[in-house]
Amino acid sequence: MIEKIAGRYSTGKYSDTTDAILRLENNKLVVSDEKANELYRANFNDTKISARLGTIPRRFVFPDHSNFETDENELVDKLIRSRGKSHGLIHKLEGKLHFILFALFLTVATSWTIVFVGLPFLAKTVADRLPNDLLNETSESTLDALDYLAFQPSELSRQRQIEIRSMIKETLPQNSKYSFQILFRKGKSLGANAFALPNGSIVFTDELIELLKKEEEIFAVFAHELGHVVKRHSLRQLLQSTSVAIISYLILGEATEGLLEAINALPALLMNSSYSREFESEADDYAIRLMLELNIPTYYLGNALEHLSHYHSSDEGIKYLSSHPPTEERILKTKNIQKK
Amino acid sequence: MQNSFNTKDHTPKRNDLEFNGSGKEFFGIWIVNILLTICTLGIYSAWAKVRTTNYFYGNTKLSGSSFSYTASPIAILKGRILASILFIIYSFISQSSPEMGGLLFLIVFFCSPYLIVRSLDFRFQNTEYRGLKFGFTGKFGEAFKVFIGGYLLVAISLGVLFPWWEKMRKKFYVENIRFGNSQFNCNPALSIFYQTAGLIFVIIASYLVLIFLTMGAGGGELFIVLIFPILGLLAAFWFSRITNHVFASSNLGDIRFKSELETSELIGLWVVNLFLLGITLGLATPWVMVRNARYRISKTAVLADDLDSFCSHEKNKVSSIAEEIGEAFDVDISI
Repeated sequence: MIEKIAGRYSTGKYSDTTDAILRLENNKLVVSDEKANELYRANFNDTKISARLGTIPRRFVFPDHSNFETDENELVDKLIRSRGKSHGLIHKLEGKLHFILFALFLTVATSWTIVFVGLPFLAKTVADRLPNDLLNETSESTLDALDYLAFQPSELSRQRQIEIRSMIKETLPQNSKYSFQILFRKGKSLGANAFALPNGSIVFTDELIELLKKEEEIFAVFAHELGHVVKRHSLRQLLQSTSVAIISYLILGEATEGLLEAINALPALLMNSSYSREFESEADDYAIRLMLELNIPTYYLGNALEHLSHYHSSDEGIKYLSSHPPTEERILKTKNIQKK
Repeated sequence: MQNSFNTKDHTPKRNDLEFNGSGKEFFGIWIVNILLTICTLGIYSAWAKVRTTNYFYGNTKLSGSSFSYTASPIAILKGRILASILFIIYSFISQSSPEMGGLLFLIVFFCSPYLIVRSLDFRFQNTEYRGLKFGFTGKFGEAFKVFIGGYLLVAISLGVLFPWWEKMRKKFYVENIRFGNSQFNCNPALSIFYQTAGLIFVIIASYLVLIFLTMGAGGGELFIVLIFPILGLLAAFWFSRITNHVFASSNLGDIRFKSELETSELIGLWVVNLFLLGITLGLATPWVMVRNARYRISKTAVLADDLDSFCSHEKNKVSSIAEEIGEAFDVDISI
């Protein structure tokens, strides 16, 4: 069987091309021009044949870097098959509609699993093994930034500050190994709020202390923030969002140009708020467990959340960090446990 | 003999570039790329990149021959692994200590000319047409002057020198491209850059004044929202005008180039792309890539009577490490 493949031959030395015919003769590939003058001859095994990709031309690169380009993809496949070589598995997958649909489904499913299960698990595993003080310096600079941009010094009386600090210390078990420090600031535009920094600094705003009528509620908020510290949420957030950024760059990075490049940042942005919702409910769970352990009714956490949601719904638009799960859901959780 | 007499006022033959890719076909390639990339924890992404680039190169035809991308996936993989490690270290250090982060940023900043040159080197070294390689001959010192020196001058001049910097960068990119052993030339007119930038500046400035004046009245918010489409329009205007001019002022020996992008068509392209990506949650990406390529390539022509007499040039292989690092830190290398 002598199959002739029509194409173009170039020497690799000059940019001219000759219309040519390629055929297989025993183990040799022979290129000849239209008048059947032989242009080149090489061993089949010494020739690199480009893989099939869509309908782009195939290229035979010969040992002397001369090459033969042809649009006859089917004939080239046949030639390779006749030599007993396998070819183009990937291309076959790429061309099959049912495989594409299957791939689409599988891609969505695996991405979902990786992003929502795999990465959080990996991040937690890694975060638990990294040294404690890795992010300590961040804490200081974050606090400095907040002090500069948002906070003012606390206007709570010294007396009240000491009261709260000793209340928390005395409520916690005597020999507890938590390392934390409690800070007070005037929240200004941030209003009633509490923040946890990776080094264990927990900041209460004056507005929060004024809002929460009961000491147990203050303790509940403290327990929630302590959950963020103990569960290393900042470190995990950093690990997870970095990974999402790398993955979305690998997948989307080549598609976008010009203004559309902004789209690359979208997955990381969307995932960040989803991850922080996850962390909020983990911190709630932590607080609930701690309170149960200390025999403090867990509805105090629910009450604190309720006060906060009323407080923040009154100041137009700005919700208590939209990254938190819906407050009703969280309040319900604290009450359900109480009933059991 | 008559020929040599006439060459001066002879208009060379116009060879239009054509693009034959299809969104449907590329969708299959794209989705398989993603699936295998995920299944192999990112390793396949290097092969995916080669297949993707080759799909676009191979579907681009000039005078009967197509382009091809000959990079080795392994070289790209090495680069990607190194780039990912550096990126993780970078985000960790800049998170845990802002001062160190700042220092690292400076290091990346000062290394960027090196990364740009090496990545262009890798890209062109692996681009072939009719069996002849392209190449990139930019020197680090020159790149340092253009990118870092130029950047500092733009900053010192409060942006007045920005159009000049754009011109210098385009010139640097194009003039250092080599096909076979022939070198590209590029002599864009500074005035075009200043005219275009000046017009854009005037429009933005008067628009801001308009917003300021209507602030109190009801229409203020509408004007603020409208700033995004207006910025898109100006970006398309700048992009089409500058690209067309850079092509028109470049040559490779006797060969000249033509790019005929239209601002209005570019806007239409971008709006439809955005719409497609939005309603499909990104699944239209392969169509968008094909649409972009088809538009830009079909608007490009090569003016040449003879594409046959270029000679090859031998040079060593280049690694892709710099290209990948450059991409990880988003160093801009688009022309």
